[in-house]
Amino acid sequence: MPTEASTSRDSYYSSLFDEYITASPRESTWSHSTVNSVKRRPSLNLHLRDTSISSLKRQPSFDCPTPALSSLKNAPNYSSPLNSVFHYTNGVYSPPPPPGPYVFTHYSSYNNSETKNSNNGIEERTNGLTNLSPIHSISRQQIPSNVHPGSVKVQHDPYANDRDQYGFKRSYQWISNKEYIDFEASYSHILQRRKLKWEAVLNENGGLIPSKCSKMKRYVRKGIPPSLRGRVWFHYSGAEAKMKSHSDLYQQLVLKAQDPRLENENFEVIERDLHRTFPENIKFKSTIVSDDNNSQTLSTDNVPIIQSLRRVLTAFSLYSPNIGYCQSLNYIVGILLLFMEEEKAFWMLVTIVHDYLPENMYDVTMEGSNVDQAVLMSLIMRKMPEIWNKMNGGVNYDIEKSDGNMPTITLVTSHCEGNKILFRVALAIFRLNEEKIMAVDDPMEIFQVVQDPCCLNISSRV
Amino acid sequence: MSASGNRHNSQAPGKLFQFKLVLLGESAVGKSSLVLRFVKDQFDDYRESTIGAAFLTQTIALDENTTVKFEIWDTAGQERYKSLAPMYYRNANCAVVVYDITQPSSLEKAKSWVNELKRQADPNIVIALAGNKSDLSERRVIDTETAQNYAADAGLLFFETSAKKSTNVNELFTSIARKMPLDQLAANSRARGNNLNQRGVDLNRPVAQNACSC
Repeated sequence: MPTEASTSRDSYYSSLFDEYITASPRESTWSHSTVNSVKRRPSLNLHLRDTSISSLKRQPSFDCPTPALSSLKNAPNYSSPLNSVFHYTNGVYSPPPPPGPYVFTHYSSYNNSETKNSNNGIEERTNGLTNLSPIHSISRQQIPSNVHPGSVKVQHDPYANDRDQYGFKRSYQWISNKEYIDFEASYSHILQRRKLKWEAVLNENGGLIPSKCSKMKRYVRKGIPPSLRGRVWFHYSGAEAKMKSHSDLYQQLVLKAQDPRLENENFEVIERDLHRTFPENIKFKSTIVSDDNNSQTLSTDNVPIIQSLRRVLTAFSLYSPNIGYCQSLNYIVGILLLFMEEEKAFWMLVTIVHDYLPENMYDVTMEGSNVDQAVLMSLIMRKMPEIWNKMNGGVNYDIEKSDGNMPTITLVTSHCEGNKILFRVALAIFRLNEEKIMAVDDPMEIFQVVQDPCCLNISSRV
Repeated sequence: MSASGNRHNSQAPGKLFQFKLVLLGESAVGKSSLVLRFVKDQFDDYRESTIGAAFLTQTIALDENTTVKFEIWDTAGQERYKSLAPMYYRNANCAVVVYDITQPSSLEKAKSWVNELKRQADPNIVIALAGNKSDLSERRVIDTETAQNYAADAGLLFFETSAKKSTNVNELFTSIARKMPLDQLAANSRARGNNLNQRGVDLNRPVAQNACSC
């Protein structure tokens, strides 16, 4: 197991681990919020036996001594302290989408905007950009109008049977179509109630997202309504503040990245991953393009979100030259782009990579990733000694494995609270699959258990 | 679940040999696609890039009495994931180093993997070189002969494969299995009084089962 971390990381993680070991439930910010929660529903039991690992905390948490919002709402003219810091003006944030199926804003804007033909070459891209100043209009400008209008229409129906509302293909391997429908029927009123509650909170706060507090923490953990998710992530992560203080930077980076004279080894690697990012998602799916010889090829040249993905990743590679591009950043940006505009997605990425995850997670050494694996193994050893013994047949566990199976939203939501959530989810995956793990003959097969999508099948435990 | 058939096979009469196989090669040459074709006989035009590594198993019957189970580590191709690779090729019995016949740099990368394996992996490791995407003949830039000569000089098995068209994929893995020193391994395992597919007594297992039932 790689343990040669730098001294500073070592001490950071060992202090974090000590804190974890000595944590007691009463100090736990996590239990604080669950005690206050309105009602409990069956959920992942993350209180692993005695203590939770909530003290694995490096980010400011939601818990802060702010008075409850309910008392604030009666105060006349209450407004968030953030009002004085950020100047919210009309148009900076789009208002919450109207009720009903969530429509991705970038798609609706594509359809409404004038578009022009483009060959998607670098020169065209550059030309298209230079006379544009608002970055949000870049993507519109680049979408040829003559390509596959039909496929765009389909994307407006998020409840099409074989797709979830985010455009991901439904898998019927573990759950039948009827079970999906039944679940959604029973769950939709919960979602609706949650959405109303969020709207009420925003209204109480003058349309703004309240400061971090235990109530909002509870709300976030219960689930942010899809229509608000991008906005809430953007706000609580701190990305919003970053973007405010560097208002032109993203645009400059995009322009720089599109300069054909710029040679950057990362760009080629990024290109190779663009069409391999959520290839089954309706938004990311390649389209079939016929060339002059009438032969058909798959192409992502006309897929708007792929163009956004390219711009965000190339801009980030210039913003963080030590990292450049690391495979898997494409998935993080991909998820973000499903929920927010690309400039915001860029700043979210900056925040996640530089503020939330350990340093060196994505640079050429990937040391942070090795350190996190070691931390996860230590936690497993501590919390689940049977599993640790089982794995100790010489297998080195890789946290990326469990990342692959975490519900994707959890991965991003965790960035509202910090890296600790990743460890909690990873441990939960092991706990949920304990019986299967203990049943394998060969320690190597543990990997198959935790990589299997059904490892998240909670109902088998509850 | 790719491993579903394994247990069945392991109950078959005859010998079962278990080998750890690692796939290496530049990103986007088709490592995961080769494995998917071999293990599930599927191909996706859209294939997600592999992050970290993926683990799969597949069992093949060489003849009536000999079954080989491959434990396959499919690795991420990007250069910086290279520092994680030793974890996967350490103790590997065999390796498939993949390049893309339409990408000249990918053969160079494959050669550097072969060198690394020869330097750092098990000295008895069986290495196969696979030139993938042979269906894209109109975009070919690496001659069969060039790669074949290199493979012969370096003592590698060599196949041009197409995961898409299912060309030479099973042949590739079967030849690896045949090249493994099965007789010698069988002798060794007899000497140890232990079959290769039984890795000793797991002292933890009965304890855990008891723990679950109480």
